[in-house]
Amino acid sequence: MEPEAGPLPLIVLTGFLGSGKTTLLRRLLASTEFHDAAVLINEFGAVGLDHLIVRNLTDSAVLLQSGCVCCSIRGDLSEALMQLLTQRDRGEIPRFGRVIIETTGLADPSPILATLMCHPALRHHLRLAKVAATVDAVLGEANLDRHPELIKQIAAADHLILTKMDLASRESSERLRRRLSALNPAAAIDQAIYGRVDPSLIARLGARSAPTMVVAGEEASASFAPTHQRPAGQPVSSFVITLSEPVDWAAFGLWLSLLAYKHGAALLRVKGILRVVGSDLPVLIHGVQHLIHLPEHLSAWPSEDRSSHVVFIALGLERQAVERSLRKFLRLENPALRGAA
Amino acid sequence: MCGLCGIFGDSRHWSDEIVRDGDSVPVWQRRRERQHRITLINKILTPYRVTVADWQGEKLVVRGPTGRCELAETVGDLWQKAEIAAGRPLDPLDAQFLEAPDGT
Repeated sequence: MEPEAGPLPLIVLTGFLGSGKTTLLRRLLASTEFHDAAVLINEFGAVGLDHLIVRNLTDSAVLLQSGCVCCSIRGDLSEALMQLLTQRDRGEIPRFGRVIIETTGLADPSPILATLMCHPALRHHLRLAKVAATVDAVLGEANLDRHPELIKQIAAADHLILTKMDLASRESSERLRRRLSALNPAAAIDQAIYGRVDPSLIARLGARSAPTMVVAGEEASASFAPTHQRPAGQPVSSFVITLSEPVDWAAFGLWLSLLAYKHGAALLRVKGILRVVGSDLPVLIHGVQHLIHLPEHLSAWPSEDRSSHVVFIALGLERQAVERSLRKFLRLENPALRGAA
Repeated sequence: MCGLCGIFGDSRHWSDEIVRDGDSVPVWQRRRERQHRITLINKILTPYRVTVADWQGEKLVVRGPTGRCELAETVGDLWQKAEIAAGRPLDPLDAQFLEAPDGT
């Protein structure tokens, strides 16, 4: 690899919960342009999963465990970046040529950008190359109305990638495109169909060009206030349900479909890795609000842990009720589990 | 696919996917899985006095306590049809639902 002259380019990949950030990240990491990328992943959840999903693509994936980048761990972010750079210089990890930060779906990216630009050491080693934001073409308009975080993400982006175009109608995607253009006229708007993006987008994201946006440090620093409390008073809760026994797929699918039908608006994100009866390999599930994606088979377990973990990010749903409900459905298939909490 | 209506793009629902190792799933196994799912649906809907039966392996016949019948294409629209047939909402987080004895 050619030695990098000057600061390494850094891409911030943001986008609302379930809008396809990790899918895009996997595409990028599988491309030749990004073969030399180190990745920092931040998730707002008790148990992070995204780093497991991308681990087989890069040895340099790090999960920031302590919560949301946007309001609590700017220190954690700068420390993680400094640690990556130090390990790179010592030869402890591959000599990466660029860095990607995947933010939590709830992050306001401006404090992250401020950290990168204002940190006394980082600003000499890293430079912001791009801010890319994924926007769900199906739910984007509704999310814009409900979630101010999304507006901040769109406003900060150099590239907006409309995802799930295969699921959206032409009219609604055009309406969303116009709205995004109005919100951020300077951003390029691309699209992803079935998770695939135009190769030229990958090339443009991978181009080691100068940053295309400038955020005034003081303005960015002024917006550090937590954004997880909804204006209507409903808190965003995050919890994980762990199941040690293999789950019956039919019972789980019926439960999740009914939960999404009845409480989809409150179900900001559901993501899980499942150990399913009849399969030795894990199954990955993704969902956002009413939308649940086809389950995905993974080729191997990411760790020795063979339990199922399902992470929920929800508005006003109580963990206890959700877990009781799931276990009740699973007992329908296996009465032997009766008595389990 | 959308959990609300289940009809974005095609008529397949995400939960129709049979999660098994290997590429192909024989027809008999698909039928058995479908029957298994219908058995579970009937257990879930017992407190609502709603029953569900297979129709030609293609649709679900949803029958309410008054004899009212609805046809559901997939699990995606099953719950809406079951609510219509039952004449009341279904909520997996409702205390009454959670307190009901399992499978009765």
